[in-house]
Amino acid sequence: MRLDVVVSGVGGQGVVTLAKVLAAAALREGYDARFLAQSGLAQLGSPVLAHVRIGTPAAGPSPKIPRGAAHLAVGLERLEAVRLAPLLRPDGVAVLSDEPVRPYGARFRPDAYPGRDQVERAFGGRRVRWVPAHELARRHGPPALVSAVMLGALAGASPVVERDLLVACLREARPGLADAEAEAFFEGYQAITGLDA
Amino acid sequence: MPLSQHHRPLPSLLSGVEACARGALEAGVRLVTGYPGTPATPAVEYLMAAAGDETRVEWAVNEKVALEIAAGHSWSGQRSFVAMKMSGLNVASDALLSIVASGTRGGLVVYVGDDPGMYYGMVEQDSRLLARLAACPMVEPGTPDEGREMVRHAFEVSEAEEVPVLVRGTTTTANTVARVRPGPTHREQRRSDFPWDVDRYTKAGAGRCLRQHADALARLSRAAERLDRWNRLEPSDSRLGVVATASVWGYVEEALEAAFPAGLRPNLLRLGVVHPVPERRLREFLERCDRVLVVEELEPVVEEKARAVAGSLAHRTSVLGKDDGLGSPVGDLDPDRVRAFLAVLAQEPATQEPATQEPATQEPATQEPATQEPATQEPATQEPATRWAPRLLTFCPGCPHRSTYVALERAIHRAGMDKDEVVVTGDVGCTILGMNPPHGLCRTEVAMGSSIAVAQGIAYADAGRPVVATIGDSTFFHAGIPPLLNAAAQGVDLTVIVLDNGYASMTGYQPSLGSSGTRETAPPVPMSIEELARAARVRRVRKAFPYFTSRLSRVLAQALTSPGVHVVIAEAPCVGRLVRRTVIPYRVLPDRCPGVGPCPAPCMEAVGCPALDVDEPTSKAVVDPARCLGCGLCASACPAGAIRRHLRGRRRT
Repeated sequence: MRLDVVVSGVGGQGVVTLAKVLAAAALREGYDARFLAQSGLAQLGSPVLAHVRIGTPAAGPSPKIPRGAAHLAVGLERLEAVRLAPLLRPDGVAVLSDEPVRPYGARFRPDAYPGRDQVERAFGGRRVRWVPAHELARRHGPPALVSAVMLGALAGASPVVERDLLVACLREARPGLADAEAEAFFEGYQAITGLDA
Repeated sequence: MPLSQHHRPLPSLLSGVEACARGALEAGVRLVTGYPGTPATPAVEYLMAAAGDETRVEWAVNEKVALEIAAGHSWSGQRSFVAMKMSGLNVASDALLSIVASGTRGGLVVYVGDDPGMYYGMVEQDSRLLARLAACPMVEPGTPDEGREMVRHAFEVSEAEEVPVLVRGTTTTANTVARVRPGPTHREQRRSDFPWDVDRYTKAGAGRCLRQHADALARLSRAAERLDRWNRLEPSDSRLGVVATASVWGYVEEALEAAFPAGLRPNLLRLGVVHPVPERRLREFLERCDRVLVVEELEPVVEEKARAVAGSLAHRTSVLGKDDGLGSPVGDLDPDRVRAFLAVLAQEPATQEPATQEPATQEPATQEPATQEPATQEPATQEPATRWAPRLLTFCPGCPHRSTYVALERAIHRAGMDKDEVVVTGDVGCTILGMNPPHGLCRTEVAMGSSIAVAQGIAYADAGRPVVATIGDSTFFHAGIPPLLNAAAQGVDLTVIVLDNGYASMTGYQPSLGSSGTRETAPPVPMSIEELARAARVRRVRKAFPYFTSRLSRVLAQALTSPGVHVVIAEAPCVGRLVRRTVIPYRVLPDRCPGVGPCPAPCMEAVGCPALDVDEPTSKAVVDPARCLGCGLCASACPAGAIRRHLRGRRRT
């Protein structure tokens, strides 16, 4: 079994935290797991793309996920989500937050920033699920919880890593915010599954 | 799932670079130093957190100094570890060549971060060539756990053969996070003593130098024998073969699954030793094969060696690689590209097109230096990515550097000049972002500390043209002092702006020598840029608070219009390091804002703060209250007086 997940966003949104929690939970569940976060300079606001590879007996050997091989794509920001499309399998699922973080240039040219429909077109018919992550995160605290909401959404979209393990690892990742993180996680989970936690 | 399982500690997940540092810890390292430079920075930071009291861990002023400290420590018999990025190895190279010639006593391991694909800027280069120049063995891990063991072993080899060992971590390996099996720590208390041996530790006299050169080459080949366990042959009955360095081995494995699904796997040779390239191994491998593909990032180092060896064989073996268009010295690899290379290897030679499909997809890195797109090659999708606005890096909301560049622009106007008339040279670090819109000021970025001397050259060539050099505090300490002394001694007409925020911020807020904060990593005796500049006898040294933009622009305008070297220190702490405090954000009064279209001087164009955005339906400016740090720069730029403090929006950061 293999599960390949690509995650994108901009610096400060928690892409690396999300990847790390997912990999740690998968390892704890007995899978082999590994992740690579590709980003620019260690500066807030630069794009981040993470490749999370989970598998048994071994995760996929390459640190980067090949094109068209990812089972799941998780996008924390609308423009960066477009970059995930070519990595996703034809039968893969994209779980996207529609929060915009507009680059400077797009402030003067509104058409230089994609709308929802354009993002969906980029995914060329693959399943796209939108999550109002920003709004859901804000119910529980700081916008930094967007990554927890999206991790919950990911858990809702794929049962590979057990939900409660993800929550446990998430709580350990940032103990100071543990309860808010867990609440945010379940908001995301519910948004995808429609189920109560 | 039993509840108890939820309370087991998180498995030890480490990145490749942290795992290498972990290896140094397990080897019983006693001194760790370096200069921050992504992707090598976490090697030192990991040890700052993980090492015990018996190990000294600290940042040095630059890489050369770091390596020299480590050499003195090694020559006294103690194990030492140094980390730097590839550009740092250039800085340290003068010392490296000399230290290799003298050899080591206590194990000395140098971690160097190479950056194929240029995720972090500066010149794309292959440090294997520097290892060759220095006659220094170099190993390269492919996974975090391998990095841990490799560094551990490198210390043993360094001590046994008395040679420094370079460990090359490429960005992808350095940033891959995986489970690492921690090993036992080597515990040994040694007495330090520095031996009296001028034949070894000085370079005076041809006889000494020639003997040291010969000794260094002999040590290199002995070390290579000991390190050979990191080279691995996986033979098969096929007549095809793949040679790859460890850092790209994951791509090869991934591609093998696809390119040779049912058929015979080729012979495989995985190289962990990248200098010297193991000639005997290559010879035996090429003799087994008719066609061999070489996969490596950047320079065709292994490929050239393989071609040379193949030419000396009785049996004819063809070598495939960058010379055949399978790869490029520019950029990094990925599993898709390596899969295409393997498909060419699998083809019958008769039907083989000389690999025309691949080089076409290899885009040279055309991106501007400060556009930090992840360097994945953009595939053709329905919506070409070029249509979307690039995510140009800019200063964080509230950053003092933004205020300084805005003040510089105002000073240029105040002095009656045009922006194009003034040449501004930039330097390495966050301060270079003054090149990006809306500032558009910095025109050059050469190497650490180069802004000042480059500006001197421009001033010499074009007398009377106002010239400004901008440099951050950590970069100034690193290599900016000699050129400042030089410019001051020659009495050049030049304004040097030191943007002093107390940290090397772009690499993750390492303290500079001027940091006096409460962090334990700050130096115990902080240095003063102001006193250094005065000691350099520059014409005028002024200090200004960047947020007081009108005073700063007056000071700068005066410097621009007077002769001699002027140093202006714009000092305010990095906002990324702000301790908890109350922030009173600004807000835009919608009935006063004319909207960014009609406005004669929109705040966004004047300051470009990420907390400013355009409200979609009304096209008026809005301030994101969660991101605004209340610096007030936008308010000072608004011609309509529409941006005001929002007292009720105050929050704790």
